Amino acid sequence: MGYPHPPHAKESVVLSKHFGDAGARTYAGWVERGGYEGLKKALGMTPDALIEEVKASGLRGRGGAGFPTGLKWSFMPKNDGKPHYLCCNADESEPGTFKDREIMRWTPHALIEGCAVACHAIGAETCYIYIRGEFTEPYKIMEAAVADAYKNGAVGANAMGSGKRIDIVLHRGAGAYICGEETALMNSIEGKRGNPRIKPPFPAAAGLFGMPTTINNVETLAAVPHILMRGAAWYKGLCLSNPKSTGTKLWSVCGHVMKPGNFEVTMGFPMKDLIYELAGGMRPGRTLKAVIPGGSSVPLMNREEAESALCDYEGVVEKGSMLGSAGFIVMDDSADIVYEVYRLAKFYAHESCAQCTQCREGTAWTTKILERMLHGQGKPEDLDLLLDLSDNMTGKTICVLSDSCAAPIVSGIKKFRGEFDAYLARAKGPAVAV
Amino acid sequence: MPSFTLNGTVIPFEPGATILNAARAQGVDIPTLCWYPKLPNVANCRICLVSVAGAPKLVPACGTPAAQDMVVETESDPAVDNRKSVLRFLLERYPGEHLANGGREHPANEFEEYVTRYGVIPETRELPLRGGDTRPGDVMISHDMSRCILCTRCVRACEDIQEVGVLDVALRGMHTEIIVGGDGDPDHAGCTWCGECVRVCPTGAIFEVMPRKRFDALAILEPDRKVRSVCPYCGVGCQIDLHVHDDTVVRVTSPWIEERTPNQGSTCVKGRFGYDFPQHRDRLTQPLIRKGWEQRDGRWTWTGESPRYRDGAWQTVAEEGHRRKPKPPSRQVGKPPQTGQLLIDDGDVRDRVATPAEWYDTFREATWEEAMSLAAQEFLRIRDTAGPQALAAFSSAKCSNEENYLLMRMVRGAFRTNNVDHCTRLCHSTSVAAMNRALATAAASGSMREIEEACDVIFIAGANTTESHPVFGALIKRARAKGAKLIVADVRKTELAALADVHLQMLPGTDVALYNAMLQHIIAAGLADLRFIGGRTAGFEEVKAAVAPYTPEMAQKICGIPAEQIKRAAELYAKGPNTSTLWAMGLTQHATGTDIVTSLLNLLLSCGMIGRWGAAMIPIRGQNNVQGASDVGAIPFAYTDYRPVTDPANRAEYAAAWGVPAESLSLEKGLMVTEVVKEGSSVRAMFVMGENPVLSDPNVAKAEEWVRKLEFLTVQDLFLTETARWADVVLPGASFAEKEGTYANTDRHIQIANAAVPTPGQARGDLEILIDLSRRLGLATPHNSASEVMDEIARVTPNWRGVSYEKLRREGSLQYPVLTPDSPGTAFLFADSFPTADGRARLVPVEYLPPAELPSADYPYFLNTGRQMYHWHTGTMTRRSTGLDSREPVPVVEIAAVDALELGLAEGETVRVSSRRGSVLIGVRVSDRQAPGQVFIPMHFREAAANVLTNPALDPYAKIAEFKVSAVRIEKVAVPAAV
Repeated sequence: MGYPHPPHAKESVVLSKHFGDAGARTYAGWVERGGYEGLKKALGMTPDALIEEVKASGLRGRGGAGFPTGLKWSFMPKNDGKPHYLCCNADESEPGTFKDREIMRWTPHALIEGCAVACHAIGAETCYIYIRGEFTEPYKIMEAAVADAYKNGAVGANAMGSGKRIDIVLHRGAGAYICGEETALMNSIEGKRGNPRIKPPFPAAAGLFGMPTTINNVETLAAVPHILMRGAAWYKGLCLSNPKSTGTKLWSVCGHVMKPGNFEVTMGFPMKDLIYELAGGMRPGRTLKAVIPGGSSVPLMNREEAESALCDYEGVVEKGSMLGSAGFIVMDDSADIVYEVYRLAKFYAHESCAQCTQCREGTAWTTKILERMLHGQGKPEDLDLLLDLSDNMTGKTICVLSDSCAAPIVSGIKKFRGEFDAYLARAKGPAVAV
Repeated sequence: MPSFTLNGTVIPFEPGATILNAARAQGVDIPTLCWYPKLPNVANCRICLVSVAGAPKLVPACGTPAAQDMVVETESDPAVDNRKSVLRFLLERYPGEHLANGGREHPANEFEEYVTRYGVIPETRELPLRGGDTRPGDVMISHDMSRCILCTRCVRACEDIQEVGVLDVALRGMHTEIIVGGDGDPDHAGCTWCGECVRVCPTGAIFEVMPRKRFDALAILEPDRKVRSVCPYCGVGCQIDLHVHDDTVVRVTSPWIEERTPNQGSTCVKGRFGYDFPQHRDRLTQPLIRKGWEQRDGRWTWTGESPRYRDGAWQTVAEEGHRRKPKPPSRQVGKPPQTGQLLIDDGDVRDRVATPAEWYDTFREATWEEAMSLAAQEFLRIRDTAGPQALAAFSSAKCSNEENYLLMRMVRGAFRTNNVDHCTRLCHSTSVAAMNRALATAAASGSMREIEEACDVIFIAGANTTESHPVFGALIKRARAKGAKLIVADVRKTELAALADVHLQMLPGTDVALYNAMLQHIIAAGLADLRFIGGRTAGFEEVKAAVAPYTPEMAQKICGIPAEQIKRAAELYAKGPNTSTLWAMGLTQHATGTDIVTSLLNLLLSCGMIGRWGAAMIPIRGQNNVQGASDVGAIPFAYTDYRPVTDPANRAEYAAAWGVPAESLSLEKGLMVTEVVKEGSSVRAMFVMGENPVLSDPNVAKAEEWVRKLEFLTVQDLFLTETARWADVVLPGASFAEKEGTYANTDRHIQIANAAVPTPGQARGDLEILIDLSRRLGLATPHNSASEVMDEIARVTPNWRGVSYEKLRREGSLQYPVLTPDSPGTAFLFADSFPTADGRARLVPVEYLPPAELPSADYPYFLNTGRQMYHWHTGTMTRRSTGLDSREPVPVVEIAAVDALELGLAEGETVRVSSRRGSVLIGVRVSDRQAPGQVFIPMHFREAAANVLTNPALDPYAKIAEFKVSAVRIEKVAVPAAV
């Protein structure tokens, strides 16, 4: 990580090596820094060999679900005569997450290169990069970089002189969080309302425009050229604890820390060090209260959990949450958990695509209840009602937005019940009369 | 067949079936809200979640394919808990207070039934009710969006069944709502008022206005009975359910998707909202006899003016054309909604089209005995004094097969003439003539549903399907959305033309040149199906020689279509691989109609596009029973099954069946409609059943004049029509809802319509009237019911031999030929051979001839006539239907913008349109559908009757008139002319 802080000694900079270095943004600059060698190598390999290499590296999806990338690519049908598509999910809308933005801002060619490699692997000629609508600067940089790549023949009708066609199409979102969900993203590219689709069919069978499609996150794709250049074994070796989580990962840390920003560390890095050393620790006189480690869509961790967790897919799950997009929202003891949970619920109520009953009604209803509690109008039965509604909102809907709304509510009530009880105890109005 | 375990029982499933399909096939009910047959599955209501062993969470039954050895529990605790929670979430924003108490006795809709079934009790609401667009002022469809549960069935039905896309989901989160177009105005969004949204709505949030305004809630919710019937409008033959309360039809719904119904659950605006005309106060409820007829000593004598020339205290149709017209409602985008304002302003919209009171003045009410004895006496007297050729009858394509059969039986057996015909003459008679000559058939070769299922290229010629046959039109649009190519040959830019891959917008009446040129190009490019031509047809060489001069470049000069387009269409058509050919009035209503259809058939046969699933030949029929009326012999040259009257063997067979001496049946072909209503025809007395020739025949002034001079006229109808007001005897008949009968649709489905309500007053079923009259005329008529008549039809009609009421009721419908009682019917014909003598189809060379009347300096515009979406033929029914009439309340002439500009006309102004035969005053509608130099007038309006202007030039074979081409002049009228 070279921006805005110089890299910390404990960081392992791979993706973020050139952050802060504007020279890396041009094609020439990127080639100077060793870029496009990975793509050149990839185009010389068969798609199957490419997929095996990525499988061997242990690379897992960086968008949230952590699905093994090579395996995902291998689901694409072979020789089916249909056009295949790659979608790059650059709709980074998860609260607290801002790693893809920096990749696009500083190393746009890393992403283009990764996309081109993936296209070759899955037999696609077209890659759509779906960029969050609010990312104006990253979009402009990507636009210039794509033009530059075309001009230099890295992509286009004859990518790197390989005779293979690889087109990169940039598509801007229009401000809907749900369009970061892979099937909603495809609907959005098709010009439809961004509603998630039911599965089956899965995207590898019928995705964008009904054709076999793979969707990868920006960070995932940006890592691919490095794996090709330095070998799967090297990448697999980047692991401090669980061998299922390999490589380096960018962590966006925000909230009540002294040095918020992106930090790139090897998988299995202690969370305590990430918060207290890399991110500069708490503000003077404050102590850590809670962390939401995976953007806003995962359960809260309390101080004990956070300080003992390891930063990888399994480590966070072990401590009662999920890695998600690795956006750390850190809260110190000044935070009001009831308000924070309300704020998150309100976000999801606003962003629900409103297809599924539980999500449309549940997000709005829970928000309303929490709002009421904050205004001193809670009722004794509210916590049970919230837990009941959250239960009904979990695992019942097409996508996980509804679950994402329920997660902070349920974990908030379980781990910080005292704060909710305090609101209820202070409640005015009908609740007090009881 | 694979199987899985459902609630502990092993059940089979079709490969590809979802858990829901498989369960429902076994009678296991899984609640659904967003799921609906034929709609794309979105699985958004989440009420159908079920437990599957091994799955980490509940799965949607509607969206999960069944798999071998899967173990599914539909009533597990988690599944039931989820179901209750879905209902509870939905109730949170639903006006369900009544469900907390007595309302549970009468759940008002699908949703409330589930709420009651699962015992969910509404709680105090924390969130507001839902909202959405409401269609204010709409007289047919309205919204109460507080009841919406956002299942999006309506959106998908509009988008994916009707392919219109008026409705959509707007906003997100709790603000999500259903919207009507971009601005809430259905007109701007292209709504066709088909009511598909009404059909699929599970909560009544989208509902029909009329029933709710006129009947109480319980009458609509729990009608006395639901009666299956057939829509009385176009030839698609939609099956509908009539809801009856207190012997009144309160509502029409379409049945759940059933494969054996032509409409598969859909209807158009007329079918769903146009059912109120039988209740109109103009209905005739008592026989009428013209004043002047008096009965003395058991005999009727005419005491009025002699020789007869009928007079009335009213204007003739031609005179009415000069009356001032109200301004048409605007359809221009960008103005506030106007829909239905007429109803609100007028109190009762029906006043405007009601039969004028003075029309009754020349009649007196009579008993049935009086009316029937007068009719029988006069028909017998004229037959015996002037000979059988002096009698004629018009049957009706709106009446059932049984009624048409009995009428033609009466004309042939008792009138002893073959002068029986019906409005097929004005419609597909040229198709019948051409198809009979080429293929020895008179009906569609295939089925409508194959267009959607198996067709690659659809060629539509002269048919405005989305307006005239909207349910079929929607099917074509669905086929196109699935990837079928569309070629449209039409002088107007119809909705389908705008969607077409190639739109061949030719000059009026130049069809032969176009189809000949397409064939020429196909032959020249080596795309003709020589195997089919060699094995299945005769006469190809002559046709090849005849079309040789018609190069696309030459046709370009005649038709005004670029040669490249002609070539492209020809190649698409010939390459198929499965091309279906559809046509309607745009081809047939010409003085060269038979030639035009023949040239199209030459094209079709040379490419081998017939006789297999996906390559259908469909002349799209206009009326609900125009196919059946012809099939059962209500045409002047044939008995049932098109068996010629000139063949003594046929005569002997029918004479035996009817119990009359063979000599009493005429061997001479009878007169056709257009030959009957003609100066100097031999006909002096007429029986007209349900037709309105005064308005529907070309050159109204002449037709009306002729009718007024008849010696005796009996009309059987629902209303005192423009024809009936000149009658001596008017017999009040029954509407479609009041009688039992069968109807044959455009793709040969025979279907039963059941009697739902009694006839009003003394009106009688038409079958009953015909039986009575036949008996009075001395023809033994032993039948007592429609099913007995059908049994006789089956005996004398080889292609219908296996048809019976019992079988029709069991099967739902039958596609004839049904050759034996156990035959399932026939979906498509001619797989191996044609019913001609040698089994080969005949190609007949035809040459292009220009239309009989072309624009000139005095009459510079082409006039085209036809139908509108919301009206039906002479308007007898639709103009007495509140909702339909509010959409198109006044006559308009459609004119291209450039012509309007040139003439200095603006939308809504009044013009005088004149031809060599007459003139009418009419409102202007500027339309992008018209080509410059061509105008269009709908045929539905008495006060500006298109047929005042049309040219009665006849096709030499089928005697159809040239309704589609005449020359007119258009003048702006500043001050409305005096009456």
